[in-house]
Amino acid sequence: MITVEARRFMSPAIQTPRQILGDMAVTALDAQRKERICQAWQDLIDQKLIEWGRCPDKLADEGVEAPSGETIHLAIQLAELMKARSLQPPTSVVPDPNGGIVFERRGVSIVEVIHIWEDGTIEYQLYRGTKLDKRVKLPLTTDYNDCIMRYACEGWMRAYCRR
Amino acid sequence: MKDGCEPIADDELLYRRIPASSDWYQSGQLKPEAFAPHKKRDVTGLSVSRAKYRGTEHDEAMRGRPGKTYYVAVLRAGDLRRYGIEVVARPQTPEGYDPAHAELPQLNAGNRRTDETLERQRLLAEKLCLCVKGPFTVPST
Repeated sequence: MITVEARRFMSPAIQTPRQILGDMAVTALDAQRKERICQAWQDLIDQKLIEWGRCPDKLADEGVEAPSGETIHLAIQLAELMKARSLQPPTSVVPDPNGGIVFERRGVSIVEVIHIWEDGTIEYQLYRGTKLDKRVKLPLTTDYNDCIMRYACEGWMRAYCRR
Repeated sequence: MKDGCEPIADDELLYRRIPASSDWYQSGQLKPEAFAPHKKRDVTGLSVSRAKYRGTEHDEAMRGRPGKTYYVAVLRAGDLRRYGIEVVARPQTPEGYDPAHAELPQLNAGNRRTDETLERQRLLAEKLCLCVKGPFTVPST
């Protein structure tokens, strides 16, 4: 009886964007969002990664080695793959001091990192605060698509898996 | 005792030079890579400078390469120790005697890929850095 009474005051179920806007509008919004993501990845490839490859002297310093052509090529491959899957672009991409490249995506309470080390090893790392919560090496011998989908399944990557 | 050999006091400030071209400091945020050990240079520990011997942040930046631009991260020795990060005076360097030279021995070339080192880098960048000064450009010779 109490339950029945209470139901009278309950709000109607929240409508999804699809219910409010209709399928066509949602598709258009989705396409716009994908285009923005795609452009962000392309800017990263053109303005940062290719530029590092063209002018390594700009990065090199005492205790800082510029990434090699192979490492940059690997980073571009990874970026192309993530772009093709409409994954959110990183919030930053920086070199490490030994010739590696670090993609970072910062969330509210987590930070996700894809670290391409100078020897070509690729790792997914998940930090909660400053604590390393998860660290997975992506084997070089396996297809990157499979590796990323199989191992890097939290946050950054999970966003893709849900779609 | 020669200058630079005495133990580092808890209230001493330390500097870490950061090349601007690396983007390790951008939009007011310092990246952990600024504290990543180099595989050849940081064999015994990550290099920092003791402010009491170096002078200002500008003085620290001017030790960089001519024509390059740098930021300088400022840390306090006692803060590092409270989080279990050791800092020791190491005035004898391969380049000669430098009373300002100190090292964080737990972050070194040998363990640069371990979980502990990656966490310490993040701790230094996100919690322990007091401020970042700059940019300072070293005049071209």
